[in-house]
Amino acid sequence: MSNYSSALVFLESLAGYVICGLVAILGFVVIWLILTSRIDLSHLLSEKDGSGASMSRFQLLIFIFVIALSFFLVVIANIKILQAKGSYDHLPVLPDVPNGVLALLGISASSYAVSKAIQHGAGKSGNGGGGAEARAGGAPGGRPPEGD
Amino acid sequence: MPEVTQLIVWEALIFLFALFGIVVIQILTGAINARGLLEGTTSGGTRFKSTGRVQLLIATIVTAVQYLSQVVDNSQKFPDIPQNWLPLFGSSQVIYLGSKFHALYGKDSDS
Repeated sequence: MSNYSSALVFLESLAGYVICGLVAILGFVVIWLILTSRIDLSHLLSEKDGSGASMSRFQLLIFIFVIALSFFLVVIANIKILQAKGSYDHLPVLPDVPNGVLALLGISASSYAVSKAIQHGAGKSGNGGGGAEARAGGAPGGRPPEGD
Repeated sequence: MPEVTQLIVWEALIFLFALFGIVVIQILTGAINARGLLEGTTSGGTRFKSTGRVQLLIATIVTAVQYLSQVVDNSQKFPDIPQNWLPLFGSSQVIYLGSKFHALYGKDSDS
């Protein structure tokens, strides 16, 4: 029985290392592709119509980084607490995201949508935004309009 | 041989900070186009420094820093957003959208 148990523990560790290695390779490839510009981030903040950087996109980018880092810190803190206690009776669970955080992200995303609607409406009525930009000599940096 | 959990922690930390670092460096060096982040466009196509965007940028950064500091202070659980933050943040968004609406649909008097 003890042999069976140690074999299971070994298998568990092996699976952990293999998954960890695969995720590390995936992460490394993504970072490498970004660094070599094969994943192009140059239009990460740009408006669709090429009229400059979008405040809503920038805001969403900041919030995503903050929430991702917070989530990671909370998960690590919970694991450390369990390790310090030395009790592995129950596995650590992923933390609940509070409603306030969801509301904050919702407000940000809604603002982005409304902002796009305003721009789209202005473009349709021939009253400004990207249309005016295009008429005035094209997008900054010479970028043609493209999809998201 | 490090434990799997320690390996995962370092792996995630390196990935997150590498991604964050790349984005910040590319914004600072201009590789990510952040031109016109604080500028609005009027219906005539002219650009102007937008106070609505500036106040939204300040509100965003303040909210993000406050939230991160809360997490660092007590990282055992996700801190909730204080109730008075949401109306303030919502107001900031409304000001930004209002200024955008006014610039695009109002008279072109900003040029």
